[in-house]
Amino acid sequence: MHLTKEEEKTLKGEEGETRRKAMELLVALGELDDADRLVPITSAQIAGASYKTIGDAGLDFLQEFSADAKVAVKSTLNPIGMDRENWKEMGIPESFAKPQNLILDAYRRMNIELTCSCTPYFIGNRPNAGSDIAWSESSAVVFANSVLGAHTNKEGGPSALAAAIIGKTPHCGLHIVENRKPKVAIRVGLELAFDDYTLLGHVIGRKIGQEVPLITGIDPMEDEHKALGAAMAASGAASMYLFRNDHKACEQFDTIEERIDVGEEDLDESRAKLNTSSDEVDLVAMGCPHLSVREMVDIATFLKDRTPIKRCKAWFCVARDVAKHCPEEVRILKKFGSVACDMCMVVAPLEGFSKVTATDSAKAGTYLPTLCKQKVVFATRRDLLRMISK
Amino acid sequence: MMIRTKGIGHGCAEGSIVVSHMPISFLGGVDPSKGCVVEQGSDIMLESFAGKILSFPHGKGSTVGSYVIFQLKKSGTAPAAIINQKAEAIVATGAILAGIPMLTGIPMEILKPGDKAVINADEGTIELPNVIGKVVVTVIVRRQDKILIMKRSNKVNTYKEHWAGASGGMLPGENPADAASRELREETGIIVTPKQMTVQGEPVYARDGGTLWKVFPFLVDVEAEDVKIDWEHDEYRWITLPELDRY
Repeated sequence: MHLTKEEEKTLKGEEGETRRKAMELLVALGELDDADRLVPITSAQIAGASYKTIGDAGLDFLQEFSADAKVAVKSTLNPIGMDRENWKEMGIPESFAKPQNLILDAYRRMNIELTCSCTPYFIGNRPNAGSDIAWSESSAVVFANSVLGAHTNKEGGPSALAAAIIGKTPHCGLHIVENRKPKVAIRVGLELAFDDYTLLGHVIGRKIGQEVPLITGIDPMEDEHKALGAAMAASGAASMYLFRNDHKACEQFDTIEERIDVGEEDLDESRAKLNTSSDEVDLVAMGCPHLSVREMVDIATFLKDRTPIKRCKAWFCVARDVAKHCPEEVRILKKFGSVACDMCMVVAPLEGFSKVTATDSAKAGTYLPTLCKQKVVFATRRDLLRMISK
Repeated sequence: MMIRTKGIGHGCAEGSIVVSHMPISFLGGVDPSKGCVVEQGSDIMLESFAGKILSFPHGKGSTVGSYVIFQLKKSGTAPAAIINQKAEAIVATGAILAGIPMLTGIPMEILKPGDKAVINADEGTIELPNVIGKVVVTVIVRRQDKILIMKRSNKVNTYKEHWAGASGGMLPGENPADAASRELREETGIIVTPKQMTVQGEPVYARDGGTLWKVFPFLVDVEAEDVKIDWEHDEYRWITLPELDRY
């Protein structure tokens, strides 16, 4: 891997130990992926923020790492395991909140914006098409590559952090235009409703592994893209897809080696895999990935004239900055449950108070059983809203 | 003997080798307070790797495993070095965050538990002072769908009465292709110049007790069936690949 003189200096430790280590990490990972050099990035999205996932090991590391370095580019943070303001009311114990706040302190010291969201593209970290970025958080990676046309590999928390500090990332994988061409064509032969996109993502993720697919027969809105990409990255290893409404579009790509048809029965199969319980629900959770302003408005519109049923907890997970933009909707939603800012249902310590969670997200449905020991009721958003209102 | 491969991170370490033939998940699969693998079914279950050279094919599992490697270092239970067959991002990241020298590209088959080793991540080398390295060539002769195997005689020093291809060590000044051509002529009477070898493969390693064989494999296609074996072999056969299992 070719390094500039400046980069060599950093690697020798002339700019401090944290920058040295960050550079060493980028070089080592770049060499593993046969990168020829580093490319400058315009932004970073950093995962590894919940105390539940990174634990004392991660906290120790971040405290040491944050001592003498700041990020060089716009850097936003993934969700954490609790709402920074309402954690007590939401049943999060103090033994969790304390180390969680220390993790935030470490990220703050490095000048990382404490956005605590998996949807940075809704709150000011929205890269331009063609720009190189270093994002972790698999759902945001797919969105950035597929919808925004930015170029990023699926980074881990430490590699995104190292890239943020150096302002560069190894030139390999999806930073190379050639690798962004589709290898497999997915033909969707059915009309999709909003709630079907998460299932479609789950189906495609199961079928394709790491390949870039071209999905034909769909024309999703942004929120549908969000659901599609998140599920695809959770059930498989996808980092990017292309999409066209016209099935004939696959003739434009000579890189396609395989064609797969997706029908109703595939969606049914995913639905059956995700729905693992018919028990009484302890928690109804929406917002995986975090809700958009438009989704907040849709939910509030549906709930406005209904009455809360306080049989179980309800969480509406959303970026704090998105919630700020819709105060009226937040007021309505709060009658029915918690508007959970900063946090992710999957990396929150749910298992402390819930055994059965209802969700409309195939990503959440994939991770809740393993990460939170939950049984999952998988349902449409309308059905979730009916569970908490009448 | 010394093997040159690829280093990750930097630094040197010395110690005895712990070998797992299974991938390791550091999150959940390792107890950071004790410095040992706790995953059911592991071949180094509960065996301490603290201060030793931990060798395993590659990492698996959660990316949080990188932080667990850092935590091992903080707790004083980390391995002195890590050797992987094929490094991936989780373990490589952990090794760098923790400042543990690491090598990749070493097949687990060449290591034995308890081997003494000196690792240099900057140079990308591993030295096994108690292991004797021997460099040899072996030539597989192919005629249509059959290959030639020969039974080694009682008079040779190693692998008596085992079936093999035309094999032997390199003489001073010889390169592997020269040696392959010479051994083939001596042991089978087949004349193929070094440049006429069909394929020269990447070297493969084979561990046998205190000896590590570095074998340069060659493939040669011939038309005639005639073979003139010398004193090193007692008999020869032309066999298909599926038949190889019987020898």
